[in-house]
Amino acid sequence: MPEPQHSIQKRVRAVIFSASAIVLLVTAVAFVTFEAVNFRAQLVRSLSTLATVVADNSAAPLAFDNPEVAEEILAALRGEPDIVAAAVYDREGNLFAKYPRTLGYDRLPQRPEPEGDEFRAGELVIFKSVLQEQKPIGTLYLQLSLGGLYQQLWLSAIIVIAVLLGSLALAFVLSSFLQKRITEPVLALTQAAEMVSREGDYSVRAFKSTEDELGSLTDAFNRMLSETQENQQRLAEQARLLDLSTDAIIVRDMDDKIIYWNRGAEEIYGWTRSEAMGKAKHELLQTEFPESQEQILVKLLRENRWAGDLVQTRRDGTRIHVSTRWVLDRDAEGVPARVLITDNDITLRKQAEELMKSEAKRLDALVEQRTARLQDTIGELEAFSYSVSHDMRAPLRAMQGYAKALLSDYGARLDGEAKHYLDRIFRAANRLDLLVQDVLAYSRVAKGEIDLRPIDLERLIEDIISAHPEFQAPKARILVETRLHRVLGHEAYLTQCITNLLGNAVKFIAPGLEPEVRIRSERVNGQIRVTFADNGIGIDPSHHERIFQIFGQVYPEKKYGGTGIGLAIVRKAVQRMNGEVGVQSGMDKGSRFWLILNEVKHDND
Amino acid sequence: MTTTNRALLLVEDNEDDVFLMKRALKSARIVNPLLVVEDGQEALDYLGGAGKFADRDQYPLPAVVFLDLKLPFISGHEVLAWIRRQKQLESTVVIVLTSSNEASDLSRCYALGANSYLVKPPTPEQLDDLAKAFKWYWLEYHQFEIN
Repeated sequence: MPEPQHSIQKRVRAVIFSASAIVLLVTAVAFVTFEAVNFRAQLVRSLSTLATVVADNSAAPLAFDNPEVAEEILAALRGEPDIVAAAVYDREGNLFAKYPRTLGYDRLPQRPEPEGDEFRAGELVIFKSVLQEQKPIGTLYLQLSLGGLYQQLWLSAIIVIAVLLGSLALAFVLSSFLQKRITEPVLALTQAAEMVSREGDYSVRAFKSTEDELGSLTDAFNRMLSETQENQQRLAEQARLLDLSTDAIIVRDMDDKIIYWNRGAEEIYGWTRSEAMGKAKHELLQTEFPESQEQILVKLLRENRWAGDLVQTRRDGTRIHVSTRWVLDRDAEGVPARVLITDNDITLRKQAEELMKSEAKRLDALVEQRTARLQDTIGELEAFSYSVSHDMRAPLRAMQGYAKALLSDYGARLDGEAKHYLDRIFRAANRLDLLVQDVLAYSRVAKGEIDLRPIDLERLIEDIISAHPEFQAPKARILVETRLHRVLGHEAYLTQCITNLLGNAVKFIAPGLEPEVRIRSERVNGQIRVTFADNGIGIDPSHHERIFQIFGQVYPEKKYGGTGIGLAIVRKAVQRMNGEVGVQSGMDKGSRFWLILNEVKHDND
Repeated sequence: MTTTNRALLLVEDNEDDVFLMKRALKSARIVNPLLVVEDGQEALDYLGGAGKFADRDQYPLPAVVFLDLKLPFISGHEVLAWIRRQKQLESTVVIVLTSSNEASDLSRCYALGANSYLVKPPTPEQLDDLAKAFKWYWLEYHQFEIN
């Protein structure tokens, strides 16, 4: 920028200077005019005074008709060099005396005129009556050259002009100086404003040098700047925050022209802000829509928003999947103005989903395959247990049968020892059969889905007791002490469980004691606990876990019999019915077994 | 007491079980003629009167069939199904006598029309008891179709 002959400076200086100049000129003209008028008046007064004196002095020579004296008196006017001519006229108006003596008559008026003064052609003339005792006896004439006066006036004029010029120079200097006081704050404001507009730097402040209106203006300007700066900072902050977003944030107008493009958009699409601005968004990104653009527009106009997944193209040509959300911005009249778009790159997610889908498919296939193999295995196992139940038990029956037959048919010919051996064969076969049955029972409760149904425990226990003579008097006493709750269970499993528990209770009993089992049920934590308390030999607490394991028998088989699978079957069966089994017992204190089963909530039967 | 002449047919491939069954029936004093076939095919031949079984004097049609399920060639189930398809055998009492107490076997046999389903008892005493019960119920109280 060329260094400023700032127009405001020029103008202010011109205003001040011309104001000063006009004032000075008017003053000078007034002064000179006044001087001239005043000077003339003074000249007239002083000439008139002189005329009065000379007229008085000339009265005597006139009265005495002595022209020489009169001329002498006039000659005294020599002291006044400006008096160029003087004359005395007698009563008749004839020239009586003249001054200077050498003056030609033609230079004097022929006749005296009435008393008065008059400026004429560079001269001031005055006629004055010469009085004696208040009566005119003649007339005095004085002629004054105005050369001195004009000289005087010229001098004054020159002084005035000099003063005027000096004053004007001073005015110029002063105006230059004074204008600064006005223009400087204005220029400072201007500079600040220019700086702001040129640099966009709102932190600039104008210096306030006065406390007047300009000061207020500066303050207002600075306040405006700081507000703008705050706004600017807030906007910059918001823009910075928008740029922090890893989502692409794009604003487009209703003609699809991009009017905002954040850092996230730059990163996701590879187009810089300057490249993207003003471009048609869908063209730039070769957008593929999930539905027709018309449908989308209809939704956008109706709901003011739309969301969906798009496929778009980056600057480098790669296709990416984005999840996009559009919000329609309307102007004050409600006319759609802009669309705010937030895009989120979901390519990786899509890929992961694809991968997961194919992986899931693979896993499904694998699971299917494994399930099929498992089904095969289960089938084989079932076939195995079926054949165990059939084939393994048949020879046992034969062993028992033949031992029995031998004993009954040939008993008479056998000695005691032989009979004892036969008895051992019989019992071993019997025990093996029990084992096979229990193993089968265990495998049966362990496999397959079961339906749980409401079970009437009282009836079930009644049935079990009546089906087993060993649970009946006089062999044992089974007492049901409370009304038993209905439970959710599987009748066969539950029968197996209770039979096993009661079987244990009557089996593990001290010799000579009548087995007694007391059964009760109660509600515990929303479930039903069925307790079987016996008067048996009890179980040491250290064995309480082992007894529920397969072959977890803790008492010698020889003494009490049993396969050691019974409680394992109970536990498995109870678990299958979503229940639990437990025991409280000590040596010689009897045992208290309990089953926890689910209560029948809404009995529809 | 008019049923003592009605024949009983035991379909059983295990000769031990045949032996024990015969003893048990004897111990229960069942005197009806007991005929034994050892596999499913033979059972069908017998009941259908095929080949030598055409001689009904020697091989009379049985009033009761004791049917094992696990048989060579043709299973007990198939034999049962076949029997129930035969018009002339529709009143024949079929008692399944097997070592299987699988629920699937039970339901299948009843569905096919078994009159009773018995699990082979593990001990000879129990088998004797079963034979006595059989005699008492099926031979003394049960009314057979008169032919």
